[in-house]
Amino acid sequence: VGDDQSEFTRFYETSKDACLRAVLASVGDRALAEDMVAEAFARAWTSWRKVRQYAAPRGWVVRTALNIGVSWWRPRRREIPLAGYDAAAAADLGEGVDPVVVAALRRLPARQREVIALRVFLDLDTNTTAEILGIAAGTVKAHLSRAVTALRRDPALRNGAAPTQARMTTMEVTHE
Amino acid sequence: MNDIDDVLVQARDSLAGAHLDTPVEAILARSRSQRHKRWLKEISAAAIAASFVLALGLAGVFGSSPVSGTGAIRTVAFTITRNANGTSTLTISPRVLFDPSTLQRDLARYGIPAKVTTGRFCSSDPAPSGFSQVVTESPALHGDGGQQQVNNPTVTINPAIMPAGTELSIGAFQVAKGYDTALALLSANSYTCTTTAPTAPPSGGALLHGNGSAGA
Repeated sequence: VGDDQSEFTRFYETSKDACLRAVLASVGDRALAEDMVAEAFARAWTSWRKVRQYAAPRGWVVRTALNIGVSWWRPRRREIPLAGYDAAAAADLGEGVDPVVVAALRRLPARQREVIALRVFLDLDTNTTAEILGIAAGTVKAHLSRAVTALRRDPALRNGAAPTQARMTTMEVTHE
Repeated sequence: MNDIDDVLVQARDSLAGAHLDTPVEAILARSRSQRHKRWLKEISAAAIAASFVLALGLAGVFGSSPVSGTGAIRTVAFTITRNANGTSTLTISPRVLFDPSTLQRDLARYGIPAKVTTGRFCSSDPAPSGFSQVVTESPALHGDGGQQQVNNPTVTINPAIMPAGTELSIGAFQVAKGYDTALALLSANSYTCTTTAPTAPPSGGALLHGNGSAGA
């Protein structure tokens, strides 16, 4: 148990921030994301001997956290506002986070956000992302491509609120 | 990350300042709490299941509802015992009128399609053949119209050889010393019912007497 706990502690310390950002990008609420990630890590520790064997334990944590968001938080009535979200989001995201970009991510369809969470924020490859989400690798690429297109067209980003707006409007989608 | 578009890289970088400050000890404690809750839930589920079984058992003792689980359903009015060869033995108390819907449901549990009534008896004309093979009485009767003394009328039913489309008709009538129960096979899609208490075994069937004798 001691070795397992040391191993899990190392995994937690090196993964927690990336997992939080991945989930935060998808749910857009800092407190909610922190609680979902903490819950997912707790479940990972409960099943650590199984989770440690996965190709991407981080991906399992994020996927579990996002599933928790559907099944666990819904009864608690923690509704995430969509309309008029930008103003509310700024207060919920904490320091070091660009609320405009998060709001733009939140406007993407859920599946695209899941792909971004795993593919971009956890830096998983296409096949691993596809395996975790249970979809085809080609579907992962398609979702990613559509997400890029949507982000470029997002009015809030086009209006220059995001610091990276200039680059966002000039870059092309890169396919693997 | 080389194969990810820069727009996504920038999106990722825009959240770079987010850190999870929850200490690992809190995660481990949360996990322990989850396991404790799960353990309590399992214990509760087991307790509920045990209470349910106990309630069924008590209900069976008092006759309000049957109990099953050991190959037998027992109520004050009747007992159905499932035998190893697929037959079921039905014992009817001649002094306690059974609830027809309960008996019909419990027979169905053991694979016996039946139409159970009280105060009336349903039959087909002509009666489907095979009653004497499907229903045997214990002790066995000796031909149509035979009489035999028994304390509680008992029959053994073999649903496997019931002709297709037939049901076992069981009708109980109050008589001077208890209840008479008539039995016969009927065609499920063609039968009539009578409220006249039979004084003799129905055609192709049997009559269990409330005074402790049986006839077929």
